[in-house]
Amino acid sequence: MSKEILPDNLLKEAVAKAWAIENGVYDRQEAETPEHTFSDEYRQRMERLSGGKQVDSGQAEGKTERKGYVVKNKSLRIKILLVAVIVMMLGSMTVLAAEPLREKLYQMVELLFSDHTDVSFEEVTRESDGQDQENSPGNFKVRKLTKVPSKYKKESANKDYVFLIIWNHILMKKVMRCITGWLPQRILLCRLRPMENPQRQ
Amino acid sequence: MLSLYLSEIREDQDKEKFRTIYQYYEQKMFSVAYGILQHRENAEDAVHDAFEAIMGNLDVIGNVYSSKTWGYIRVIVKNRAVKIYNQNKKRKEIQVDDFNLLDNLAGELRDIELRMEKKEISEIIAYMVLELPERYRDALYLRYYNELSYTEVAEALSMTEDNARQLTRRARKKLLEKMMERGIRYE
Repeated sequence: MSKEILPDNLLKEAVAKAWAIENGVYDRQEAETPEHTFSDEYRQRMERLSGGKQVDSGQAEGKTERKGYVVKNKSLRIKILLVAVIVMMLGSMTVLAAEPLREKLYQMVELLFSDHTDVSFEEVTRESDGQDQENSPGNFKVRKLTKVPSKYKKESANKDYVFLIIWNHILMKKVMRCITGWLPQRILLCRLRPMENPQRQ
Repeated sequence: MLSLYLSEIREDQDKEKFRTIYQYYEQKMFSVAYGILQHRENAEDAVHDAFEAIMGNLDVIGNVYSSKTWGYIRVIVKNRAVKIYNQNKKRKEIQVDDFNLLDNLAGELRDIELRMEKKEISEIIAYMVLELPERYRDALYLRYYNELSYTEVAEALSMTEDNARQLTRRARKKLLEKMMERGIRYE
């Protein structure tokens, strides 16, 4: 009902007029108020508010020359930085809290700074010894797929592995061991396809 | 990278805008605050608080020198000054709802009956707007003169968005009541 009697456009017009009338009152008040010299305390607070950097300002619209303040709107950057630091701290805490991850982190440090880092863990050393033995070419084992899931069939009965990967690169070996704790010798892949009509078989 | 670059530009623009507002409106703002508080240090506090609020809402301000900008800044500084005025409680007899600077400054604004005979309807309503309490007027100015969203109105008046919405609705209702009291209908 109110909108019927007082539509928005009429209200806007009236409010604009009211503002202009009221502004006249404030203008008179301003004219009567002598120019105020702001206190040093106020200036300091404004300096802090604007980020601490004070600059000389030019004249603005006939006003007497005053000192202005540069706004250092760093709050967003600081917030982003804080969030990043918190995330990094949480991540670090998580990594360091879990023993396996902690060990892997040390191993990673050792790997990346191998020239001047020496970190050793007995278990890892033993494991490494075993793997080195296993890595010798004579120890390669050919593993065939023995169990085919129901409703699947092998792509080719004769080719039950598709390719073989041997990690020869020492860096790749170390990285893989750090990440997975497993040193891959070879990967046997057998392509399985869903059967078109499993009931037939 | 692009967003960082853009934010850098924006920051520079904001710096410049704030600097201009600071230079141009500081004395005017002090005058408004002093008119309410009649105390120089408190008026400085109000101006400082107002600048703090303005700094966080520079997006609202388009042309620094426009009357709308001054309207917005005036409402903010007035709001902060009234807040300090109430906090100090030196003049408890005057409550914020009844506080109206125009009562002290321009009694002639109230003789609406005289003006009704020769003015157009929007002007009559304008004088009725001036009869409203400060809080209602401020809400109407921000919403219908500055055309701010309720969120922005709420930030300017340091209240919740719901309160800003309610305040504007009440102001409008009050205005309507005044119109009906005087038998003014808009056809």
